[in-house]
Amino acid sequence: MSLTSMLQIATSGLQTAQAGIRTVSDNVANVNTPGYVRKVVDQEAVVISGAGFGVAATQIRRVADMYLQRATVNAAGEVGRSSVVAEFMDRAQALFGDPSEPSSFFSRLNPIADAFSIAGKSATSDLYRSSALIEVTRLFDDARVISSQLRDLSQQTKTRIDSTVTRVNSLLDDINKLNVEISRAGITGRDATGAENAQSQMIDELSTLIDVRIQPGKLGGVALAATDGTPLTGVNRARFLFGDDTPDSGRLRLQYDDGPPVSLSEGLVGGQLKALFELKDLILPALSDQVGEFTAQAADALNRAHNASATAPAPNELTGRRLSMALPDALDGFKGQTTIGLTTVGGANDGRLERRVDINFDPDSNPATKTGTMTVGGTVLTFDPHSSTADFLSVLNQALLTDPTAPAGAGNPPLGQASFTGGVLKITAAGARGVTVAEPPEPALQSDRAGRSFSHYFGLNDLVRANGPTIYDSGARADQPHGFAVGGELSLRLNDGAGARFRDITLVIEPGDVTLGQLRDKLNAAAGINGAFSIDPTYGGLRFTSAAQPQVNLEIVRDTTAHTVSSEPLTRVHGLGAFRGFRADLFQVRPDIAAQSSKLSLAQFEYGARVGDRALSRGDGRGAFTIAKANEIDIRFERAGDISDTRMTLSNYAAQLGGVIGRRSQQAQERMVSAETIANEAVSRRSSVEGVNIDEELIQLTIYQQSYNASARLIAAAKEMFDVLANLI
Amino acid sequence: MTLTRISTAFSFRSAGADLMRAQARQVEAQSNVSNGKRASDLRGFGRSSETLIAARTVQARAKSFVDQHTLLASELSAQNQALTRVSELANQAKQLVIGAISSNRADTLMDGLNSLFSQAADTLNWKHEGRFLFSGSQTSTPPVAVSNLADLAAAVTPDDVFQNDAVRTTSRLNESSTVTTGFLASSVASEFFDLLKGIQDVHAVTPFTDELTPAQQTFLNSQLGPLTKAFEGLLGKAAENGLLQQRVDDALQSQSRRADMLTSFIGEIADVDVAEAYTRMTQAQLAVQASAKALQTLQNSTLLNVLGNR
Repeated sequence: MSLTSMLQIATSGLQTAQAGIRTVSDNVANVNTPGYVRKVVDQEAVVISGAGFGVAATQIRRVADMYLQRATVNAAGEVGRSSVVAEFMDRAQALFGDPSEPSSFFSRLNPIADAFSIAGKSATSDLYRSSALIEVTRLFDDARVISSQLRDLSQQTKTRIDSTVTRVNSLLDDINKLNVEISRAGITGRDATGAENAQSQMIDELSTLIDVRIQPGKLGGVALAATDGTPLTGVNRARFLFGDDTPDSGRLRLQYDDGPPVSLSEGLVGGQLKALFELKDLILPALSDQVGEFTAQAADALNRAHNASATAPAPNELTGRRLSMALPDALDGFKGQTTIGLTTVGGANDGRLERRVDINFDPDSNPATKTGTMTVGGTVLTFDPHSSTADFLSVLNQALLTDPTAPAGAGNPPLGQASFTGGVLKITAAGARGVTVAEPPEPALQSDRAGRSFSHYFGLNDLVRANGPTIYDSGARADQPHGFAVGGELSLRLNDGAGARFRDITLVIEPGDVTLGQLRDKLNAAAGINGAFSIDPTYGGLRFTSAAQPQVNLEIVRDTTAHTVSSEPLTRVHGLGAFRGFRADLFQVRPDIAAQSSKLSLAQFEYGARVGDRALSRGDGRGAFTIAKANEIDIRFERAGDISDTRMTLSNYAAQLGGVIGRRSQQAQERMVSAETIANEAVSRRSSVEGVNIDEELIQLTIYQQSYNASARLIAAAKEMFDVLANLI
Repeated sequence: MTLTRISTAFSFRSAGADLMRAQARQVEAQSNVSNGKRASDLRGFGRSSETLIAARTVQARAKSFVDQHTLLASELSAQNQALTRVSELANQAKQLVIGAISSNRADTLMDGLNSLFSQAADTLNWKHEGRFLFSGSQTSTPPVAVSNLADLAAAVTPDDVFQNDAVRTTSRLNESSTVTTGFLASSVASEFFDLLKGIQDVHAVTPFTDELTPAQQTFLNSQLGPLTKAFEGLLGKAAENGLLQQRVDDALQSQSRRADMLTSFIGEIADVDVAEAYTRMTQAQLAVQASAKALQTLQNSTLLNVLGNR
């Protein structure tokens, strides 16, 4: 063996030890780097012509385990999803306050009942009336705040989706670039572990954002695919799109360098992005919907009680809420009786009845005949809402003339007048008189359409007013005109909370579409098997019910329809999509009552009073007790989120809703904790294989150091031997 | 889990996570102990939120009933005094008439009756919390419009005497039952006042001044029965009021028991068991210390300490 080969062997030892030390130092330096996979030097003995010729570091290898990585990636996806849901649910539930405290949103009804009970005891006390009004205002103020914050959360999901998509795209970009570098290194035999480690960290991050499938790349690196198998890496670069200006902006799409955007055929399964879509499309809308339903029914229950009560002294004018119906359509379907009373305001005769018009909507108990009667004293007038000569308004105005049997004129002035403009019914009394609408005390005789009395249906004496339609059980039947202007267009989208394409529905109001039933049929033909539009035979109005699996949510893309009476679009009139949730924003105490608490209806109209009798008393507080009891009366709630159609009291609904939200957020929290436990376990397994152990590295360092020292000693020995030889010469 | 090797960073990280978990538990237990409550939001109460909100509603209602019944009880007590007093006045009227009959003289009869009437009218015009007690829903109008016998006799219709309306105050005893607690001046006193009016009418024709004429004697004698009946009627009203007081007192007690029961029921859901929370806090403190100790041990158990000192 020559001295030169001895030197060469020693040099190979030195170099290999150096490579080892470099690897160890890299490992030690990265001991704390998340996702870093430790490296080892593979070394083997060099053999030339059968003889040992030193050592060589053949490759520097990452101790990566693809299977363990897949397990952590899946677990991270679930953590990403459940933690985002838990975070948003936690923020949402906090809006409702502490359920054990009286200040919680769901306990807001209690002080209203209390305040009205007290006000009823001293019906003339301004103080008690004002405090009752403050409690009502507070309920709807709270509802508005909660609703707007829920919308804020919903908006945040969109912003988060946006930034998450940007991050996903940039990660995909970088992973792709590293793929090129890794395969190039693989071909030229260079050390690619740095790039591989960087890539693996990116995949770890990517997997918390979106669910991906990982396969080893053919030339090193990785091949990523979406859950449905669509490739995300490769020569043809893929990018996710969300929130651009196209009509499709609300859903996640994939665009390759060489093609138009395509929707994912299957939706997302895990990751933060899935959670954000779930929140945006299903969870938060359902919650908004529930708050909207509760608030709208609370307002309706208060209005029901307020309409059943009377203001003393009676107001000069009763102005209804805006209906999206023509008057004949609104009246068609009423049964029972109602009474319009004009009473004296002020003076010694305060509260005495001057005119009493008893309206009977179906005197022959046959709704098909559609004729009704109005009785004033001994005079009976008949009306037919569909006839232009004897319609409801003209007959009512006749009945309100001083002499209801004679034509109107200078000698026969009206005591009061009724009008219907833009969906608003208005009844005005002339002179120092007030108007009251009252119902017979026997429930069976009371006027009724879709569960509301005449006054309540038209909102003549509402306590709470909404800035828009909030009552969807209008009684509108399938055979009644839908009332929307021809040419209006409605574009709806069914979302399943997974960001993928579901179904788009477009409806154009055509001249041939006359009835609501026709609109329903057209919508159903477009919706297919994903859900159904229906019209309740008793309560009317157009509803959408999602198919059981998958649950879909109705999103409004565009709505240019307009009701010919109220100018409101179809989605608002019938409460489709997000509008149901927006209802919580719309309520406020009727401005004239808020300005003047004496307009509160705390009294009761003496139904048996005849002309000349006292029908209203200022100190009467019986109406206040009716309002105080509003939250104890069974009312009908429509399906909202995961609470199905039900009949219960407002208080019970509040408790149920609180329970649902509490349970949901607790479950979200528990799900996050269990996902974290599983992920922790997976990470622990992975890191036990891939992670750096300092002690192990120190031992390696010691070995490499000694091997280095020994190789150096060999070189020194060879040098000495050279020196000896040289000195011999 | 059997691990053949350990990642240094992971073992530190998991020890750190343990420490943080222990700290989180400690903070939670501390807040439980300091505010005495199990949780402070819907998530914290989770499944029991529904029961809690429902119980709060019933409790609020019971408390509201307690407040209303307390007010009502004081109103009924005022009514009781008024009704007893009016019945007493009716009795005195009867005694005056008996006195006149037995002494056969009527020197003080009319003055006495006039004074009794004024007192009765005055009593029926009593106010409670700013509202006339016996005027129905005309709470700001005095129910009796006349204050002496002459005006009473001059009244043509009952409306000239009584200004109350027919609305009797009703109050809710509980969710399902309502009682009528108001009394109307017209129904309380019309019988008594009619009798006094009758005597005043006779007085206008044949004044009761000194000795009674036989006709006056007969007339006064005929009034004794009705006066007794009027007195008994008034006594009956006072008794009716007494029964109402009893019912309201019972309702008040039952509602306040209900409120108390619900307070303890809510307490069971919402309030923390302090002993248990304190134990939890102590355990959490121990866990924090143990986790910290584990970290310290981890820090010391490394080859660095051995190899570094070479």
